[in-house]
This record gives sequence, C-alpha cells and structure tokens, in this order.
Amino acid sequence: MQTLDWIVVALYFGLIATIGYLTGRGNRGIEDYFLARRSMPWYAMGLSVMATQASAITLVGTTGQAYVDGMRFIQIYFGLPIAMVILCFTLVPLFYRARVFTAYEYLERRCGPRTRSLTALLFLFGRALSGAVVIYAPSVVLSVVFSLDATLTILLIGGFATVYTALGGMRAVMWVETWQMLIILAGILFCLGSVIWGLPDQLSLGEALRLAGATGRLETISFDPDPRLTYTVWTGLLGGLFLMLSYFGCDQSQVQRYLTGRSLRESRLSLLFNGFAKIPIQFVILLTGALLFVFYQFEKPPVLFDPVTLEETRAARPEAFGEAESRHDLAFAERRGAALDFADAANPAEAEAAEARFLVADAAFQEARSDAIRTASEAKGEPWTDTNHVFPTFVFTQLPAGVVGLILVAVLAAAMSTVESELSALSTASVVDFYRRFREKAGRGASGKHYLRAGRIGILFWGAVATGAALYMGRLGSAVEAVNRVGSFFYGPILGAFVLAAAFPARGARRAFPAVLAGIAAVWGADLLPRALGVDGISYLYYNLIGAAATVLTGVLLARPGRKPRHS
Amino acid sequence: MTPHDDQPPSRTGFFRTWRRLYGAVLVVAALTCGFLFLFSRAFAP
Repeated sequence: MQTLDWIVVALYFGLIATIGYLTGRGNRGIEDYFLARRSMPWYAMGLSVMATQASAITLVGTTGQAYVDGMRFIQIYFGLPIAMVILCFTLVPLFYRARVFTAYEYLERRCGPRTRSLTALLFLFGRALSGAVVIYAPSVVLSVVFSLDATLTILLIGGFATVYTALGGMRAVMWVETWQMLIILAGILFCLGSVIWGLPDQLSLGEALRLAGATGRLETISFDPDPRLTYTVWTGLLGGLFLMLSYFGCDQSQVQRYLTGRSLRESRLSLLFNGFAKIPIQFVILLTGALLFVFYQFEKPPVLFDPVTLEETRAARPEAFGEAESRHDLAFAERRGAALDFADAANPAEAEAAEARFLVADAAFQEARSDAIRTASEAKGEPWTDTNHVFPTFVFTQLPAGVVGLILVAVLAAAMSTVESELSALSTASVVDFYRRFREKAGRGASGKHYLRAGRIGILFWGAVATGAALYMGRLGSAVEAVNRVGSFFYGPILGAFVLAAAFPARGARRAFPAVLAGIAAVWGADLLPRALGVDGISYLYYNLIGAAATVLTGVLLARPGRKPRHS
Repeated sequence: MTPHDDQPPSRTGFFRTWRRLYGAVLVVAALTCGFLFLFSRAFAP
C-alpha cells in the first residue's frame, strides 16, 4: 500500500462520513430512523438492495471462484428476475399497504402473535452472527494480502459501520449504500479493465476467451438434471428462485430497503432494477476471474495465493510442498510456452496443436497446485483453499498505486454495506417486534424519541456483538459457522409462513406456527438424512423450496375442514 | 392505500402497465440467459 492508496481510502471514509452526516440529520421518530420516513426514490433503494446483497466475499470470492472453477456459479442467479417479478405483485404491495416496519409485523395480522415472535426470533438468530462472518471474512483476506493488521481491519469495518449506522439511521445508510454500490460497480469495471490491460499485447480478447474456454472456465450453462448439483440451469431456476424469494421477500435486511420507498411504485421499481441488472453484473465479476486465469498463464502465479500459508506450509512440510512447487513451476513454464504459441499461431492448425499442448500442461499444473493445497490443508489440520486470495493478490501485486486503493475501497464498501443493512435490520426487529410491542402490550407506551433512542442502542448492541464475535472468530470459528448453517435452514419455512399468510389467510395462516416448525424439521431432515445414510444429498439451493413447501403443506393440512382453527 | 400508490411505472410510452414492465424484465432475463448459452457454446472446450 502506497501513500496514494491510503489517500483514496481516507477519501472514501471522508465521503461516506459526510454523506452519512448530511443525510442522517433530523431523525425525529422511528419512521424516520428505521424507514427514512418512507421517502426514498427507486434508484437509491435499488442500489442499496444490491449493495446489501454484495458482500466483500461476493466480490473477492466470486472472482476467485471463476479463476479456480469457472463461471458456472452465475446460474444460481437465474431465478432472481422471476423472484423479483413475483414479489412485486405479491408481498411488496401487501407490506407496503400494511404500513409495517418489519416483515414479521405483517405476519401477526394474518397468523397471530406467536408466529410473529417465532419468525422474528429466527431472523435475529440467523442474522446475529452472520454479521460477524461478513466482517471477519474480508478482514482476514484484506489483512493478509494488503499487510494490514487483522484486528485493525475488523475494528475499522465493524466499528465505522456501527457508528454511522447508529448516528444516521436508515436515510443515511441508504444514501451511503447508494454511493457504496456505485463505488463497487466502478471497482468491478476497473478490475475487468485492469485484467484485460494486463494481458500480453499479442493476445486478442477473443484468443484470451478461447484459452479460458479451452479449460471449461467459460461454461456458464449446464442442463444436467441431477438435483445434487448446485450449478445447473434447473437448480438455479427452481432452487435459486426460492432462495431469492426467501431472501428478498422475508429477510428484514432486504425488506427494510424497499419499505423505505416513497410510493409502492418506487419500491417495485427498485426490485425490478435488481432483476434487470444482477445477472449482467455477476457476469462481469465472473468474467474478470476467468480472464485472471488467462493473465496468470503468462505471469507466474504463486503456488498458493495466501503468502502466510505459503510460508507456513513451506516450513511445516518442506519435502512434500517443495516437490509440488517444483512440478508447479515446470508445468507453468510448459503451459506458458504453449499459450504463447497459441497466441502467435499463424493458422488454425497451429493454434489447435498449441491448444492441445496447453491443455496437457494445464492439467499437470492444476494437479501440482491441488497437491500444494492438500499439503497446506494437512499442515493446517483442516480443509483449506486460497480461492479468496486470488483476486486480492492480483490487485496488490499487479496494479498501480491509486487503483489498488480504489479496489480496496470497493471491497471495504461491499463489506460495510452488508454490515450496515444487517445492523439496522437487527435493531428494527429487536425494537419493533419485541421491545415496543411488549412495552405497549403492558400499557407502557413511550414517545417516538424513546424508541429512536432504543433503535440507536439496538444498532450499537448488535454492532458490538458482530464486531466482538468477528474479533474472536478464530476461536469461535466452527461455532459461528454452525449457527450460520442452521440459520440458513429457516429461510424456506419463513417464506412458507408468508405464503400461508398471503394465500390462505382464512385457514392455513392460523396454523403457521406449527407449520414453520415442521418446515424447519423438513429442511433439517433433508440436510442430515443423506449424511446419515452416507450418500450425496440434494443441492442446498433446494432447501428453501423444501422448507417453504413443507410449511405450506403442514399449515393447509392442519387447517383442513372439520378441524377447529386455533389462533396460534 | 392511497391512489398515489397505484401509479403505473410510466404515464406514457410502452411501460404504461406493470404487466408490460414485468414482461420486459422476464424477456431481458431470458435474452441474458440466451446470450450466456451462446457464450458458453462459442467457447466450449
């Protein structure tokens, strides 16, 4: 990191602090503080929705994944435009017309107070520690690659996001996120441009794509009907559809974005904007990763992209690692020669021969790299991969001063926008679904100012929990991962509760509470059963479909004619 | 709900109804997927 990069980072923090201060003044009550007085235009909501979804790992990990594995990942977004359209004519108008603060508040009106408490609690449980992950994961990568102190990075991301979210409220968060998303988009385009710029002069973009395509990295579509596979058209359309319906329709961190719309029209447009733009943006991010693979045909990559693990493994397993490293270097030289021959080929026959040599050398190269990663995993005593380090390594070692700062800022913006949204959603659910509700039930209603203060305390509390857990993640790692994993089981059943509330308000909705529990049991079963039987289970993307279907089915069956509905 | 909430996506032009805009989103998504299919096949190993 050079002085110019630090100036760019300082400018970024200055910019968001200024935007936060200017737009966050004058909060008078919780409608101001949690919903920006329902005054936001569609483009700010749309960019904010995108920024919330784009975590730092989306940016860093997705490029890394395309480098390692190719662009198949894009298929999980195929269900997103359909989900946006479905939500626009189903849940969005219902939420908007009900004038609710949280999605779960709406459920109380149709399904009863117990269902509201259950779904809000599941949200708090699921999201509480995911905040720690979205702070911790990029902090570790940034600290390793940019030689920053991990504790400092965690405190910077978690602390700064917490403080200005607490001070500015929703309006500040949304406008800051709008700018953060613009920075992220600029960062993505800069990255793609930088990778293309870095390719050898004699290699055209078409030839670069052909090289990437020869190794299967540009395969974006698979029609394989196997439901155990995650990256197929069918899993993306069906599993991805239910994932996106659950995430955008029932997760308070997203619902809260479009509840801030100045009209129903604006809220709908913000989601449709996302439906238009998401797949092309993911395509550009993944293409950057695939072209990064081509770039490293000509520039020698490190055998492991994480320099700390590289040195540790070299010291811990000198023989096995040294042998893999030697094979890696030899295969790289062979592969580079074949790639250059391909670029210089005078006719199609020469190009084809060079491509064949290239593929043989690439197979040897990938085998040596796999052996190096396996040796590193053995040295660490746990499964390990360097996917998240590929892109930051490129940025740090190849790009000029200033651009490094810009990309770092884009990664920081992606991390912080997700943290802000989670903190404001956690605080809103805590205050509206529990604190205010039970206080008013007990006849101790308070002023808007009181709840605004409670909202601020809520954000500071959840920010401290997330940042604190991120600081101790090294020790809490597996526990936090387990909580996150279980948290993802709740999405589908919560979606099922909303389907019951919206489609079966007369009968099924009254049975939503036991139905949600049955839905969670169904997802848990779908996850555990194949493991107990020692077989491959279906892709996790189908869990939301299973959870939602089981919940709706249970709710409808429990409310069959002849059974007296009981308010749950 | 107020009449304000029932605003169409656009007062004039093609997108005068929500149904047309929803259709456009789905058509663009389908075209994007079609492009990805052709892209995938053009550079297949």
